[in-house]
Amino acid sequence: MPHRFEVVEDDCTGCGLCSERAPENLEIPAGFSIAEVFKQPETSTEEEACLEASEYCPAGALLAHTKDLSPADPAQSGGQASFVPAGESTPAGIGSEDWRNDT
Amino acid sequence: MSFETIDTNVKALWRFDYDSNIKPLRDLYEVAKKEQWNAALDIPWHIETDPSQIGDMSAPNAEPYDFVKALPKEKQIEFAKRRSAHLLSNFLHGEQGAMMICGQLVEVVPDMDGKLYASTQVIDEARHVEVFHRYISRLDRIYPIMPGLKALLNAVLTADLWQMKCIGMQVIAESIAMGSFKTMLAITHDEVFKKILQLTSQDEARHVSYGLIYMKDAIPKMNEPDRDRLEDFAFTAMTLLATTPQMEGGRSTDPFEQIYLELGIDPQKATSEIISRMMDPEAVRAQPNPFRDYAYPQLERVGVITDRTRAKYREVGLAA
Repeated sequence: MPHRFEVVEDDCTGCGLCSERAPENLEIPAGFSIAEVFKQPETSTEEEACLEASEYCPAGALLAHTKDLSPADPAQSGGQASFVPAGESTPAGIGSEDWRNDT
Repeated sequence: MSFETIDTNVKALWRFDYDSNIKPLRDLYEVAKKEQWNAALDIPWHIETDPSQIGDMSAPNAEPYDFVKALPKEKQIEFAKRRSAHLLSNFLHGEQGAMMICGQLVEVVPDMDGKLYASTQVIDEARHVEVFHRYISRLDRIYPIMPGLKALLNAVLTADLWQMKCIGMQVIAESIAMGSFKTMLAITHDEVFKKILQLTSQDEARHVSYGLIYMKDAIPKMNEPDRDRLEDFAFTAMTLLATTPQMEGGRSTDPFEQIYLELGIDPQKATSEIISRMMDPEAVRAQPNPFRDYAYPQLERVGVITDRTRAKYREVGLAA
């Protein structure tokens, strides 16, 4: 899958919106107050759900790391993956019109 | 019977199209329905509270005050117990205010998803009133609401724009509550109190998220004069809560004076030590500050702090 996901613990409020959207990959473990990626997405359906969760995250705490297969791809170059702050640099993020159905 | 009334002017808004139009809010509504808990059954009320395990909330991340250390051990515990009751009394009053404001949100917000979610928060707040009232009765008595909190809640209750209610309650007050609960959770060793804080924090996280999601959507659509008014309201709300002096009968009072007197602490000595620590920049930095650390970053995140208002937050020490 072209994305890996990471929770920024200091920013996560633990509201559970991400685990509602992507229950196969994200959860708030019992007794904890922040979300955890318990499994990176293994199918395109799971990845789409995680991307949507990242876009929804009101605190911008679920990061989608882009593995863009360019020389910046850590698997190929040893470099660092690029970080896409959730909901801020993605076109369908909160504040865009994509998730709002009315006018 | 003790009560007060305040006139509010709320314009209720009907929606006749019931389909979801803000997907993240509808999802948050689903989360809220799943995460409901019962204040009577889900808190281990059968465990007795050992006063020595409550913890002193007066000096988080810092050495206890000298005036506290000078007390005999049993009075130190009594001080911690009463100080906690005072603090939690204000959360109790805050939860009641939140319950009323959320009731207003159900009426005033313009989207069905916003109304459905807000309705779940009304019962969340009712549960919080129930647990804090029950827990405080184990410790001491209910103390009066602090003037700054009362001023904030009344400002939100009487605000004319629904966005002001959302910023004042969901983004500012709820973020401060989350930050404060996190601090208290790190201090206390009382299992009952810990469970209360864990469950209420879980609810508060949804409440903050509602404000962030809704305001990120609504603020860019506001006209400029209303947006300016919202920005000014946010600053006023923060300063009301953070800096309003404690006034009683026209004179400034220390909110803990009553506790000092009952425990044989010299109020002047205690107040002077607290003020001196508040004036020490090192000590201030070390203290958790929910305004600076939790509410301010969220206001930045939703775009209600702008170049026009940012400097004002810095001037009063509320900027992160």
